[in-house]
Amino acid sequence: MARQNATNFSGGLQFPYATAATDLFKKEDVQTLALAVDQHDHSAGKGLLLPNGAFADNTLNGSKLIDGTVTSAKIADGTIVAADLAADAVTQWVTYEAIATFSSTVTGSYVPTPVTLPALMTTGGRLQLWCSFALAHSAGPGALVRAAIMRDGSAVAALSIYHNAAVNQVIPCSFVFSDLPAAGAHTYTLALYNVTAGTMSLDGGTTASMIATEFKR
Amino acid sequence: MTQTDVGTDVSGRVIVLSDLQNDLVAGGVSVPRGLTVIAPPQEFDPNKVPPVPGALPPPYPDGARLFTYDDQWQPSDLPPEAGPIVAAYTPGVTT
Repeated sequence: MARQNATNFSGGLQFPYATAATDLFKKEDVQTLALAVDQHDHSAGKGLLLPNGAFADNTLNGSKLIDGTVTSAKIADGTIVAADLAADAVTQWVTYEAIATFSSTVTGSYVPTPVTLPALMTTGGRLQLWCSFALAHSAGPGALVRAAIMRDGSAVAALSIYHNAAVNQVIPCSFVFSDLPAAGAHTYTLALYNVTAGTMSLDGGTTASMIATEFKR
Repeated sequence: MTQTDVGTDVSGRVIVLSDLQNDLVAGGVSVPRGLTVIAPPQEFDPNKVPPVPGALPPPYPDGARLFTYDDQWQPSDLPPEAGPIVAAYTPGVTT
C-alpha cells in the first residue's frame, strides 16, 4: 500500500496518512492532522459537509438563516396560514356604518354628508369602495341628485340618481368603484349634488354604509 | 364632517328645508348656499316606522344642527335675523 492524502481536507489542511504498517510515517503528518482537526468546521476543504441527518430535529432557529434568503421554493405550497401574516399586511379596510342624518337644499355644488370614512393610511395599492344609502327628495318624480365619492374633498366617482318616486319616498342607492390614490392618508366622503331645487335627504331609517378596502398585494 | 358647534339645534323638529328656505327668503334673509341639517350618527332601530311618501319628513334626531355654508364652503351659522323665522317655522304653513 501507499500513503494517501485526506480527501475531505484541502490546501494546508490536507494531511497524508499511512494505509499500511510498512508505509512511511512522518511527524509532519501529525502536525498537519492536528492543524486540520483544529480548523475543521465542515465547510469545503475543512472536513465532511454535514448532512441533514447531522442535526437533531428542532435544533436550528431562524437566527441561523441569513436574512432575506428564504424564497418561495423553500416554503411548502399551501402551508402559509392567516396567522403568519401581520394584521392588515395584505389588505386593510375602514368602514362607516350608521344612520346618517343629512338634509340639504344646496344646489349646484356637491355637499359632503356625514357618511365619511376614518382616514385611511394607504400604501399605494388599489382601493375598492362600496357605498350604499337611501335617498329622498322633496320634489318627487323627476328630481335629479348626483352622488359622488370624494377623496380628500374632490369627487373621484359619481352616480346620477333620478328620483322617480313620490315626494320624500326613499329610494335605495349603491355603487362600487375602485380608486388608486398615491400612498398616504386619505379620507373618503359621500357627497350629494342637488340638481333639482328642493330638499334632498338621507333616509333616517336606513343604515348608510361605506367600506374602503385597500389591496396591498 | 361634524358641526357640533355650528348652526342651530333643531333636535326633534319637523322641517321641510326647502319650505323653511322659502320662508327665510320671504322674510328677507338670504341663504345663497341653502340650508343643511346633519346630526350625529344614530343607532339602527329596526322598529322605526318608515317614512310615508308625500308626508312630512320625520323629526330630526337629537343633536341635529341647521346651518348654511359661507363663501368658502365652510359650515356657517345662519344670519341672526333668521332666528325668529326658524323658531316660528311650522311645517306645512307658509309665511
